Formats: sequence, C-alpha cells, structure tokens
Amino acid sequence: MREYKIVVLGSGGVGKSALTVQFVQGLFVEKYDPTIEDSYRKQVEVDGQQCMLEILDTAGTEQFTAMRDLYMKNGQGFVLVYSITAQSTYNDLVDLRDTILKVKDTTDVPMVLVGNKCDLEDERVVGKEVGQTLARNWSSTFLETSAKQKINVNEIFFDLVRQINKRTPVNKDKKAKGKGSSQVGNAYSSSMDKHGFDNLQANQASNNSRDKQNCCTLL
Amino acid sequence: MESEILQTNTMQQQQQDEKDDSGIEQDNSFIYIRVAVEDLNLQKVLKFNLDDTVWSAKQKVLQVLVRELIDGLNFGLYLPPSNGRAGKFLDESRCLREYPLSGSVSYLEFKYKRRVYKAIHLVQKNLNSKVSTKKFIECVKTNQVTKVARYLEKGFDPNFHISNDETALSCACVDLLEPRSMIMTLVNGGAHLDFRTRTGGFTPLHKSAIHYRKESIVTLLELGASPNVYDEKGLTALYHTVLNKQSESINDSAYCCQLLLQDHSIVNCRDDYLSTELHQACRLGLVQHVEHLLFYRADIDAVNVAGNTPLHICAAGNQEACARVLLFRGADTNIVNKSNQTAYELALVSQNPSVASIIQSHKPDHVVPFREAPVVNPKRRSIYLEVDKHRTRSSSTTTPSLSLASRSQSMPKLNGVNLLRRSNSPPNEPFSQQHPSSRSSSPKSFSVNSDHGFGSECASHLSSNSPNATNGCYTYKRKRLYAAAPGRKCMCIKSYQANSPGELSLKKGDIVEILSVGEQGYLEGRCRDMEGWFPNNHVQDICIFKNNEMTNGDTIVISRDALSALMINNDTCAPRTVVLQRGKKGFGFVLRGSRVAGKMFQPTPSFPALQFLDSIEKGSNADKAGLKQNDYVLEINRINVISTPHEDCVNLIKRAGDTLALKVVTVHMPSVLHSHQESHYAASQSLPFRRKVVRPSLDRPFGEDLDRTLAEYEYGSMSEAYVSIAKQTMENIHNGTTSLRLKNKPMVPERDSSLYDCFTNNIQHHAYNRFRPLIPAVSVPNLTSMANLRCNSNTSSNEADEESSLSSMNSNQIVQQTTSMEENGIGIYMTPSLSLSTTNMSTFKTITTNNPLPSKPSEVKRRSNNRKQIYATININNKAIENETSIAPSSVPPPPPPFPANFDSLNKASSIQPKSIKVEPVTTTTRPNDFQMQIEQAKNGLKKVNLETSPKQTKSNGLSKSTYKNPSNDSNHYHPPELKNIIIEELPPMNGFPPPPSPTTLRRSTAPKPALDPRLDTNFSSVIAQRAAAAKARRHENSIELEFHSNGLPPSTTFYNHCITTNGISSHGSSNPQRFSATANQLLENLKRRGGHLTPIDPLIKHYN
Repeated sequence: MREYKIVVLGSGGVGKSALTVQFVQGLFVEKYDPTIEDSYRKQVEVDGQQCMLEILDTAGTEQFTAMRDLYMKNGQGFVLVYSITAQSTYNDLVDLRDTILKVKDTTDVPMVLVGNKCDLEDERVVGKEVGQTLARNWSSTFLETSAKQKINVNEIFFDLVRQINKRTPVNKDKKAKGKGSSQVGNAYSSSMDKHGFDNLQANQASNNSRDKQNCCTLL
Repeated sequence: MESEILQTNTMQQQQQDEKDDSGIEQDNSFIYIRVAVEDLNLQKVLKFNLDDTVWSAKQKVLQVLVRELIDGLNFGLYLPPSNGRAGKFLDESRCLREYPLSGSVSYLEFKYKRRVYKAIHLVQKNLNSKVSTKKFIECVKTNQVTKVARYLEKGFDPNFHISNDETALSCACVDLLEPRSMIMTLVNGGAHLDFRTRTGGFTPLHKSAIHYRKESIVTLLELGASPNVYDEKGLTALYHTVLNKQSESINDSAYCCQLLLQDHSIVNCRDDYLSTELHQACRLGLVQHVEHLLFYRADIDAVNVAGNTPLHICAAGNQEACARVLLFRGADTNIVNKSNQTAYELALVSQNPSVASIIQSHKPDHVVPFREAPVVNPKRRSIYLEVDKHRTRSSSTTTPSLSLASRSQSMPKLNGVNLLRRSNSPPNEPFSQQHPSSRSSSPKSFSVNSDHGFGSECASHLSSNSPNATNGCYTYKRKRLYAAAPGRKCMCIKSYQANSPGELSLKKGDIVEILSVGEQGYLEGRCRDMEGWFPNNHVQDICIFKNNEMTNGDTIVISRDALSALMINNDTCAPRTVVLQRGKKGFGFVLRGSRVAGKMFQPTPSFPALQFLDSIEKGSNADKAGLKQNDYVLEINRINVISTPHEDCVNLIKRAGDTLALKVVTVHMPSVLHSHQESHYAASQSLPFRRKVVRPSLDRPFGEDLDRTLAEYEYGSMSEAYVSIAKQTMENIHNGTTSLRLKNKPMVPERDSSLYDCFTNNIQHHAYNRFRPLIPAVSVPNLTSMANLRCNSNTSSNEADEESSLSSMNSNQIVQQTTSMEENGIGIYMTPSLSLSTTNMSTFKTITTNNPLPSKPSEVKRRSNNRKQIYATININNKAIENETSIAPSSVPPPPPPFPANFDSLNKASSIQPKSIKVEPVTTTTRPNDFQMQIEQAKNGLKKVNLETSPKQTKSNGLSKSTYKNPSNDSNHYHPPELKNIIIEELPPMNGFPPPPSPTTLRRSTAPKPALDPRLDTNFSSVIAQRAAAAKARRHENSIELEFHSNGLPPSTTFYNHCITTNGISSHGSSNPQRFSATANQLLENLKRRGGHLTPIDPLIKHYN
C-alpha cells in the first residue's frame, strides 16, 4: 500500500484542523483549539487503489521556521487553506507557497488551494473567482469547502492523491524519485548548506513509498 | 491499560489540595485526567488546573503516582493515538488547556520518552542495540548527517543517553561546530527536543545555553523548542546564559540571552535562593545581560531570599557598571533587605564606596526608561498574552489589543506581536514610580496587537535568522532594540573594520560610548565623533569614574582580559616581549626545540625559531603573561636565540634568575582547544595548592603565593566561594600591614602573592577557625548573611600571615628608598585593595608626581591622604579605585575625590592628622577610629528603614574635624569628560562565586603641568605598552640592587601580576613602577573587629619599624 504524506497549511483559525478531523474522523469540531501539531492517518481508496494518507495538521498560529522546513521537505502534497471570511488568510498563502517551492526546489508540487468556511456566505470577503484565479496561476486545484457541512472535504485529499499519483506514478516511482532526489540535493547544497540531508529526506520518502526489497539497487 | 484503577478517595483529597493552592474554584478551570503508568501497571485519575503547565502536571504525577522512578524527568505525559490521530508527548512548557483534552475524564499515559513512530513499519523494530548505538554516536559526533539519517530512517531511536550528561541531541548541539543540519536530522528522526540528561535534567536547549552555542539555540528554537522548559532545579535556559563564568564568552552568552528573550523566554525565573537572572547577572557584572533582561521587563526590584534586590547585589559585589544600569532603568534605592539595609548601606558595609557613591548621587530624574517595545518572535504563541488582560488598562494610544481569549476566536495568524510599553506615562518619570505595583505582581506589560508593519518586519528578521543565511544574500538590518543606558562605555579590545555603511571602525583601545543595542549582537556607539554599528565582541564594558574635576583624573575600570587583549596584539604576528617572574613552580612554560645548533637554520614566518614553548601551565605566570603554546622564542633576556640549541636556551633561562624577558612570536595555527578539558586538567592541578592554602607558613617565600593563588583563582569552584572570602580577607589584613609601612614610599614592584589566595572549601575553612579559637568571632548584627560571613571570616585571619607580610614589607622598605629618589613623573603603583569581600585586587597606578622626594611632610600628608582615598574606594569585586590627588604643593587642599561627601570628609579628617615622616603609627591609630565611626554610622543607618542621605552626610561631616571638600562634583559623576585613570578589573572567575582576585588598577592622572609627561596625549594602548616597556627596562636596571636589599625574599615578582608586553614601542625611562600592596586600614579594621581595642597594633608596628 502506498503512503502519501500530506501537509495541511494555512493561517491560524482557517479551519485546517476542522477539515482534517472531518476527513479523518467524520466529525466537526466546534471548539477552536489552536493546534500545536497533529498527525493523522487514514486509509482510503482512491480510484480503486488503497492509499494510506498520513496527514500533518500544522499550527497556523505559530510557525517555527526549521520545523516548517522539515515538514515541507517530508511532505508530498500540500493543502493550502484560507478562510473566505478573512482576506489576510488568503494573502498569507502566497508566501507560504513560495516557501514550499523554495524548500522543494521545484515549481511543480502537488497542491490544492482551499477556501474554507464556504457555509458562511454572509461573511464572505474573498470571492470565489479570486481563489480560482490564484489557483490557475499556480496551476493547482481550487476548492471551496465547508468542514462544518462536509462540503468538498474528501475531494481535497482525493485530488491530492491523484496529483501525486500523476506526478510520480507507482510503476515509475523508483526512477522518478531517484532523479528528483539528486536534483534536490544539488540545489540545496548551494542554497542552504545542507548536503546530504535533503538527499536523505528524499530517499526516505522514496523508501517509504516503495517496496523494501528494491532499495539496494539505488544505493 | 488493563491494570486496576486505583481511583479512590485520593482523588477527593487531590481535589481538596487543588482548592487549597489555587484558591479559585471554577468548574471550567479544572480537568480530570486519567493518568496511566504503563510500566507500573497503574492508573489514577488526577485533577489538574487547565492553566497548569504540562511540566507542573508531570511533577504532580511524579509526586503522587510514581516517586521512585529512575530518570523520572524523561517521563512525559503522552496523548495516545486515537481515532486516526497519532500519539504525541505533550510539550512541557504548554498549558494543559492547549491540548484537546476533552470529555469528562481524559486519558493520558505517563511514559518514558521514546521516539514516537508515525510510520507503522518502523514500530516493531528495536534497532537500538549496543553496537548500533555506538556507531550512531560516532556518526553524530563526527557530524555525518547522511549516516545518521539512514539510521533514523530505519527506525533507530535517537532518544538515549550517551553518558549521564549527554544525550544524542545535546551532544550534537554542544559538540558540533555547525550543528544545524544534524539537529534537524535528529529531530526529524524522532529525537525529542526535551529529552533530558540524567544529571541536572538539562534539555538540549539548556546544554546549548550553558555552552553558549548560538546556532544550536537558534535551531532548537526554530524547531519549536520552548525556552521555558525547566531543568532539575527549575531553571530555564535563559538562567544558564546568565551564569556566565568565562569572560571570553560574555558576548556570546549575551547574544544567547537575547535570542532566548526574543523567543519568549520567561524572565524572573528563580533559583533556590529566589535569585532571579538579574541577581545573577549583577553578581557577575554582566552589563549587557542586565540591559537585555531589563529590556524584556525583568523585575528590576526582585527580592531574593535575603531580601536583596539586584541593586543590593551590585552593592555587595561592587558592580558599578551594573548598578549604574539598574539605577538608570529605575531601580528602587529605598528597598531594604532582610537585614534592614538599603543598597546604599550595604555598599558602605561591604566597603564599596564607589557603588555607594553611585547610588547616593542617583536622582530619580536620572531614570531613563526604555522607550522601545521589546521585540519578540511573532511566530511563537506569546506567553505574555495571558498576563495581558489586566495590564492594558491604559493604552488609549494603542490599537485595540488582543488578549489570549479574543485571539482564539477567529483570528488569523498573529502577524504582529507588538509589545507596548505603558504608553500612558510620561517618559521622564521614574520607572519605579510609574508602576510600583506592576513589578511585584507581574512585570510583563506586553500587549499584542495586530499591527502589521511592525510585526511583519520583525517576522522577516526572525525567519531569516538562521546563521546559514548570513553569509549569502541575507543582509540583516541591524535593527535597533533599545537605547542603551546613558553613559555606558565600552573599550575596544579588538580592532574592527567597518564592512558596510552604517558601521563604525574601531581601533584597539578606543573608548566607545554605547548609544543603543541592536539585534544580532551588534551595538551602536559613538567614538571620535563618529557613530555606527559594530559587533559587541570587539568591545568590553568599562566603568568610568570621574575622580576629580581639577586634575581630570578619571578612572576606567576594565576587565583584565580586556587589558591583556589590549596589550597583546592578536591581530598580527608581531614579536612581543614578555617579562616573566619566576613563580613557585617556575615560570610555567615548557621549552622545547632542537638540541643541535642550527647553523643552517633559516627562520621563516611559519618557523621563526628553533625553540618554542611546548606547553603553558594554566594559571602560571607564563599563562598570565599571555604566552601561548607553540609560541616561538626569539630572544631570552635580549639575547637572540633564534638558532640557539636547546641546552643553551635552558641555561640562559636558568641564569636569568627570577626575571625573564622573553621575546616570542605567535605563529598562527588552527588550534581548537576545548575549554572544559582544560579546566578539568586545571582542577586536578590546583589540588596541591589548595592544601597549602590552609596554613600559610610564616617563612614561606612571598613569591610562591602568586602561583598558588592564581591557580586557585582560576579553578576555585562555586562551592568554595564563601570560603574564599575568608581567606581573602585574611590577605587583606596582610596587605594592609604591608601598606601600612610603605604607603608613602613607592615600592619596587614585588610579588604580592597572597593577594589571590583562596580557601578551597568549607571544611578547611572551619578547620582553620578551629585552629585559631582564641580569636573571638565578631558578628555585626545588621549585616546580611553574606556580610556576616565576611565578618566571621575576618576573624579567622591569622597572624602568621600578617607577620609574613610585615616582614616582607620590611624588606621592601629599603628597596623603596633606593627607588623613591628617582620617582618623578609617572610611577606605577600596585595596590592590592582590601576588601572584606570576595575579591582581591591589585592596583596599577600611574601618577605624575611633582615632588621629587616623597619623604617631605607635605608629601607624606598628601600621600596618606591618597591612601585613605584608596581605602575608601575598595571594591569587592575585582575593582580597585584609587584616587590620586596629584596636586603637588601641600598648601593646596587636595582636590575633591569623586565620592560622596561623607567618604571624603572622613578621608580628609584622617589625612590631616599625620604630622611627621613617621606617620604610619599615627595614622594607624587614627584611621581605625574613622573607619569605626563610619561603620557605626552604617550600622545606625541600617536601623532606619529609609535611608536619608542628607542626615548621613551631616553626620559624617560632623565627625570630620575639617572638611575641605566641595561636594559639587558628585552630581556630574556619570559623565566624565575625559578618561584618565584606568582600572583593570578581573572578571569573575570561571567557577562562579568566588570573585576574582587580582584586579588591577591602572591609572593615569594628569599632572597640573602636563608638559612633564609627554605621554599624556598618546592613546591608551600605547601608553600601556610604553609603560610596560619602561617597567621592563627598569627592572633590568634595578634587579641586582633589589636582590641585594631584599633580605632574602624574592625581590620582585611581578609588575603587573601579569606581564608586560611590548610591541616594538620604545620605552621611556622616566616612569617608575611602584607598588603598594595594600592599605593599613584593612588590618586595623580587622583588628578592631577582633578585639575592639587597638593596643596590639602599636607594638606590632613598632617592631617592624
């Protein structure tokens, strides 16, 4: 079974945890508790294939730069969440995406842009088309969701799994990963002085996602 | 989990307890948690306050459930996985409220911190075999990130102990030079940021703070490590940055301190004696730390267990610079400690008149509160938010502030955390009066608002904070944190070349006025009418006293390290000449080199001579002189030995006797020495010395002491601190005797030796007391515990010491007469100052004298006056201040010294009395009276709760029969226009409490006719160098004579206690090294305390007359 590492990002209070918990547990959490960092697992079937999703629900209210670098490196797909009721949360995503691309050192990262709280139509500040434009610029998927009313919640994660599958198909997994990792490693050695580290991150990711027997061929 | 539930009536009891300590009984503030201890098969329901931190909850669990746990601090509350969510350990610095512990009774496990596996396939494996652990450690220590990552990837658990005080992560933090990637790899592989060492319970952050590893601290904080985790003793990492014992890392630790403060480190953490960080910083004289702490709203008037505020600590420890900063930031001078003393009175009792004068001359309108808001990391949840609600009562000018409660509603990311000072109060109003209550309750007046501009700016700074980024494209703005306390001055100890606009180039020896403190350890200063930024590791704080206006004699206090940095030119490889005195165990270096004469030898820059120094004994004279391992020896006593074989060199050195002039050159080699290894070595070294300290022998050669004491000084341990006090006071007596005889005669530099003695431990101390049971212990009731200790220790001083000092003094007397004739112009005096306290000091004093013969009555008078002033300015901590009145004619009244009126008048009063050349006995009898009176006054003053300075002054004025002084100069005290006298102070020794010995005072005062001294205009370092050269030259001239006269005692030991280096600066012959070992006052004081009557003194003195 393939594992997918998904990271949910966004400003504080946009509903990252609500979306995640809704997806994983099928509940809507009314109470706001700023997340510190939580990791969830859920096994789903996407397009007839069993997938193990490992979802990292991050803290929006505090950001530790090094920690962020770590999970961005480890993550394969990213859910960028803003609240349609707060413009600033939308604005923050631009920086966030830039950071991801910088860390990943590629422009092509599986990503879903999510405008949450679409049930609160009365308080809408960010228009739907605004979100769509941004998603188009990013060439990522755009979804307006409601964790409360369970609108489009599963679609976020399913879409992400498909994106990951498309970019790194299972059968070519090994090759693609190996190539990717060397790129990452080289790029990082120049930019952030961390030889080897990124390589390993990539290797680790690839090891996790493929059969154990094959790994000796690459190394 | 299937264990029996012990939920019983203990729960109710617990409830009862809760009610008692909290006092609040709100239903929604409590939570019931079923805590399961898997290892013990035990479960219990406990009631917790939601605002408890996880740390305190853990302590409670440890107390209630499992007392006998091994390595209990590494157990943690674990939120087990449920419903798809992975399990995790709760972060100990957070409140229980922050975790989703919902339901009627939540469930937590209490288990040992191990890696939490998120990937299922890793869980079952146990890879931590002995062999792999060993290999893993090896990889961590050699920074093999790739291999470590591979181990972790396979499921290796990095949470283990390498030794009792090392974990894998702490090892990476402390041992690696560039730890960032290793730390990140380990944390990514499941290393817990709060996995503690077995001894001390230090987290990696604590360990990094203890070793001042800036990059580790930055990395850990960026990984989300909380700065507010406590070690076994309940101390934060911040607290450890303040416990700096190594002077060379002061700037590093100040930077670490700032990093932690900036990342929401809670201030006012208290140790067992309720001392806060501020107390510790004041005790150790860390000015920059004090400023940082105050800027981040440390409680300036925090009271420790003895009732002492930080200002009291400064007063007792003679930390003028810190005292000044505290006063400028609004410290309350009226607080009395448990002994009913104000800081001023404590300064008097501790015989720190300089601090006393600072406190006394402080006026409320001098206070300069911080105008800037503290910058904190906006990306961390603020600990200040909670305190905030009742605090922002005022802020009419501020934007609506958010409290913790409101933040949680729907607020987006906290973009700006703007910490506003109470903006409603007029800025010039004294801090202490603004919010008298705020300090005691909660000193943090931070408020948060969502102001974008400010927040995003500092956010960008913090995000780009990683050291890796600094060398590349990242150019940081040196953001100004706050304006420095007015009048704060630093001396440049390492030249700095400005790299970018806005920076200030500094030359060694420059005195810089600090204008403001910036981020990244930068300071903004003004020097020679230029302003700009520079890194703080190029400067060292100094303290400047204006001694008197008429002669422009100012005193600069700098640390000895600063002096040696100034004297030894580290920047270049220029050869330097070092004059060494033989110590008890020799000079303290090992010479090594070719045994064959190198006829063919061609010196090269990398191999300039055949002989080199193989090792330098720590604490020896050679070490003190700044000789380094692998220095090449070019000349021995002016004889070129570049190609001389080993034996010849050794013979040359042997023939040199007690004085050795070495010309050496340092060849730069990449050498990394680890300090703790050295200190370990040192500790073992000093043992024999310590034993000897207990019973100083009567006939012990004087010079031996220096080595021993230097060694002691270097390696005395914290626990020995108190005892060292005893010994030091004994020395003081001893020194006092010496100076009694010598005070108006310049002395040839001679080893003063006992200056640096320390007691080694309490046991010895007691033994010592028992040894002299006849000496009655005099206790001064109003003294603080520390002062009491001092008093008692005084009584333990032994006569043998005194006698030996007397005899040595005797021997020196003759010498003096020989040298005193030529004593014109600048002389250097070494005056070990007397202090009842923890430090010894010696003083270098350069004065210009106009009177050729010091033996004239007028001269004597003048000098004795000087002496007394010296006495009045004794410092506890490494500082000696001397006032030199350099007005020659006796008809002119001595210019007013910088001290408060009462000191002055006392000094004057006693100075009048001597009438003849044989002044000493007279003075000795009169002086104690004066001092006694002074002490009495101080005691009387203590009984009053509030100190009123004016009555005190009048009282003291009344005591003195005649008062010449004009008191007007006190007010101007803080801003001396020109710096003339320099005091070199020793920083606190490595091991903490025992304050450092051997402070030295170097002083230069302007003569009325400056033409006499051509060097007055030269800059400081060259003056030092010249003086050193002169001294050296003199020594060569005089050495034979001295030996001849010295009654079997080693004639001269050290000039400066440490050595003199010249850098090719030609020596001027006009200066004379003179040395006073100490004043008599100390002796008399002690005698007085012992018996209360002075009769024994006279015979003693006469005997030596």
